[in-house]
Amino acid sequence: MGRRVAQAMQALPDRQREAVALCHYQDLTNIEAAAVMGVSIEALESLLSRGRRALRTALADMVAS
Amino acid sequence: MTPERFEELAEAYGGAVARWPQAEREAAAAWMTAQPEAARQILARAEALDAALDAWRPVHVSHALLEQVVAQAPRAPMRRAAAWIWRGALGAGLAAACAAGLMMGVALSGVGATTAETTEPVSAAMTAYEGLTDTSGAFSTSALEGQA
Repeated sequence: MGRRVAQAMQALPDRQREAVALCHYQDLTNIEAAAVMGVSIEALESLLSRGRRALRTALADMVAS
Repeated sequence: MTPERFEELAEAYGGAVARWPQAEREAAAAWMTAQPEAARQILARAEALDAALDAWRPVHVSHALLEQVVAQAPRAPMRRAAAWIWRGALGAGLAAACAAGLMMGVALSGVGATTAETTEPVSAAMTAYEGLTDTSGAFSTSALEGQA
């Protein structure tokens, strides 16, 4: 399962992967993550939403409904 | 707080409201009280993805390892006057950037939850560090040596 997630993360566009990595795995706040990435909070939220949506699709069989 | 905004927040930040933007948590909590069932369904969907993502954990790199990588990075001449500026500025910024670089490096290498003994995290960290060096060669990491 871990390898599936790693592959799904690898398949994300760079910026989406970075946003998910910073917020989900590094536990940065939205303000901190936006600062690290040099984007607005709105842009960060958009990247997170798109990234997580793509991950949900890629991991559909792993995500309990 | 609207149902749509509540769902947007869950989609972006996951099912743990404690990880949502601080400015919106109070409104989210109020909405959860007013619409408990709707909130539960939205959060449960986000939590399911969180749980799947937690099946993989990237390598955690200690601050000591980060400093070791920085100390071993290629050197370039640094103006003495600028040394103290870099010593302070690089600390937190480098740690955050290296952490992000490590994350991407581990992800790109396809490495799962492994020990810190693998070389990929170090390579990824050094790659991330190289991106921070001044291309003119005016700065080096010599000012960081000797730090605890």
